[in-house]
Amino acid sequence: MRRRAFLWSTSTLYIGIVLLMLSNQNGAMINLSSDAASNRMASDRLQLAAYNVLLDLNRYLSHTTAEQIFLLAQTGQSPKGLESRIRTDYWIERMVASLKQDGVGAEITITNLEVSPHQNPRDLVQMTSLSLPVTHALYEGAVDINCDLSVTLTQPKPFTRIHADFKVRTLSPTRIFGLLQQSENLKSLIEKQTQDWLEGDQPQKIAAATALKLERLIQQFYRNASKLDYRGECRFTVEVRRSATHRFEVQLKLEGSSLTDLSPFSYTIVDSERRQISLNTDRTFSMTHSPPTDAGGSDWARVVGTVTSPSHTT
Amino acid sequence: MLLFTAIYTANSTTEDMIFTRVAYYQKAADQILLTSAMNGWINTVAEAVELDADPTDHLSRITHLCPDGCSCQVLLSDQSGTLLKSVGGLRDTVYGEASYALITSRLNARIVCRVSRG
Repeated sequence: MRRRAFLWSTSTLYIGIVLLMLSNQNGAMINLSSDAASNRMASDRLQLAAYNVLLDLNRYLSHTTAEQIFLLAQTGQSPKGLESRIRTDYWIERMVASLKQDGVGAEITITNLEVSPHQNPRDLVQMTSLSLPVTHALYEGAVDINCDLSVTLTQPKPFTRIHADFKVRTLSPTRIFGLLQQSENLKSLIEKQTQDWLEGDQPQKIAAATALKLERLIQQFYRNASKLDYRGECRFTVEVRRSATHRFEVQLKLEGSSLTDLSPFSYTIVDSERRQISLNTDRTFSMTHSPPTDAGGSDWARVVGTVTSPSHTT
Repeated sequence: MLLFTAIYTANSTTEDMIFTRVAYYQKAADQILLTSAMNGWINTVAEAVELDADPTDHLSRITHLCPDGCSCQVLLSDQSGTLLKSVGGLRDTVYGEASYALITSRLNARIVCRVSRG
């Protein structure tokens, strides 16, 4: 009887010890897997933060470039020196502060920022994150934006640190280079043809004939430009002044002349409103006309007209 | 007594695998925001903020990424933590939470995605 009781209690004790050991082992495994999960979570969190930095910079660059182009185009300035108007330091400051609020320490540097006329295909992920197709005919004359982004992120508990170098290859679909090209094309067309337009021997006749030809030329130009989704509008003045007998000074002025990019991708947001990009340029062309005869009459004449693009339908 | 302790400890530790469970929901929250950003949906939220428009539709689209068996809530707040918009509802304790910083010309916004069971 005693022997049996001893065997039972010993075996029960043995099984108990085995179970306790298994339980401890199980607990240790769970702790280990919890630590692993916790570290992985911290690392995933920093990775999300790193992509957050990349994709938000991508968005910021595209939008700020459009905004700066909008301001430059209003005064007819070229996008030369556009890089200096894109304030990446300001963005870095705000992004670092924002990540700090989330308990993430960040060191962000942006180098080699450059903007240029669109040539190369852009990064697929960066374009998709801007809700833009990767390639499109209406990117001709838009702005490629390239820069290098370096991000170091740290999290104190559990201590995790990641470093990532990204190449930003994004786009601002505002076709400022296209607008400038169109504007230059109109200028050279007028310069090439004006000398042939001058006819007549009286200021009134010269002004009327020149104005008619100028109007036709601009109308034709706007018709062609509208095929590329540009819309034009301008007010012109033809002024003819007799400077001597048989000699007339002719001046063509394009005032309030604007060329607008109608591409659905090309806009900026100013004062909570979507605004299209319009290049405003005023130009003056001066010529001299010396007809063989001079019919006399008044010494001065002026004709004013307005030309707008044919109505745009998409 | 020893046997009871051993069995009880073993069961309770299995139940207490909090971190491994949380990791799943945390990963889901991270993925929801990352996928939204890569699809351009965060960009549309940013535009709505810039335009001072209602971002509800854009935030709803993000909550639709919620995996089966989970409930998700997406919040938009400003830099001071003031809640601007909240979409979706949670049916249980929040196990996963991820946030995405958004720098706009109007404000520093934050999109937070919360995931729970249910």
